[in-house]
Amino acid sequence: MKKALIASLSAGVILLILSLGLSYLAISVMPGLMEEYFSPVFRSSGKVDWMFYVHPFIVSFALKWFWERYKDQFTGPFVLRAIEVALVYGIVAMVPVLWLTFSAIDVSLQMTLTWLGYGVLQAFVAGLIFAKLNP
Amino acid sequence: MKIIAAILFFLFLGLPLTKGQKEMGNVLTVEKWAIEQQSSLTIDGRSNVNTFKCGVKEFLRTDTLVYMSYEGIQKRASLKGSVTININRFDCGHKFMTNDLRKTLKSDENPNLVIRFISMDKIRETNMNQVTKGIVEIQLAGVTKQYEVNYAIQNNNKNMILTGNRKILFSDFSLKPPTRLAGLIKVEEELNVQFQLMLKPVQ
Repeated sequence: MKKALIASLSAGVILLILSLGLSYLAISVMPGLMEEYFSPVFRSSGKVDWMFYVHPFIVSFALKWFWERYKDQFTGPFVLRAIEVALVYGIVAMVPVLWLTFSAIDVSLQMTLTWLGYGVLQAFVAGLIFAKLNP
Repeated sequence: MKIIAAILFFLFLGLPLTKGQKEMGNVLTVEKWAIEQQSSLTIDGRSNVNTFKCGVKEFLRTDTLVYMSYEGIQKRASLKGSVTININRFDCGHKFMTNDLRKTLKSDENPNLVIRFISMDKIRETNMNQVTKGIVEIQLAGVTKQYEVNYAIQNNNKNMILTGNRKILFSDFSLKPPTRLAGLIKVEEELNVQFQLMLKPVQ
């Protein structure tokens, strides 16, 4: 239990750093796309900012549960297992939700695709940590 | 008693006039210019992802600008008049920024940006191109602030173009610059307001 908690928290911290790093990278590499965040469909910063910073921990705990439940299905070297986790997460969780998001909210396809890539990358990094700490 | 009251009455009546005369001197020049509809105003700003230029090319309500200089050593001449701009007519050339700026400037509650002209450093003859300074009052989002503004005066046949610019801060008007993604994307505090008044002499 303690081991699982440590793995989840470690993954959460690393995903938070990754999320901030990728956000700053996107701001400098894709400023035109990031401009879209000024669209009225996105919240202004304020009372719920904390939720943004907590989301890596939500992802890490959810993926940890998934890992513990299905890790026997993922075989091979740890990088391959992490890639499989990332793809499964991307296909099962991200694609349907983003499909619905794109159909309901006025966001561009490029923006939606960055979210897909971001989610898959988060799952890959979490998969690496879990495959190393709780193989 | 009635005599004392009458003396006091005339004393108070005369006091402001005497003081005013001492301060301002006699009126030396009075010029009147009509501010034309083609005048424009732009607001430049930047965020950490882009720069934006929001403009309006048509004033909602224009006025006559009255320039009055006085004899004596006063550096400033008085300037009267104002322009009113509907914030909902601002266009930033980008729908997201346009909507966001209008929302930030609280266009629902206070749809007008008003610039009132208070004074201007004495200018040489108005048919000369020159730069000068003056005081304006900017009313935005229900807050009014006075600023010193740099002016450039250009002459275009009989008409005159008065260009002014001034840096202002969102916080001057108790406004918060827009931010997104929990503050990772943010608009900078400083805005540059520029206006170009097309002036036509009024006889």
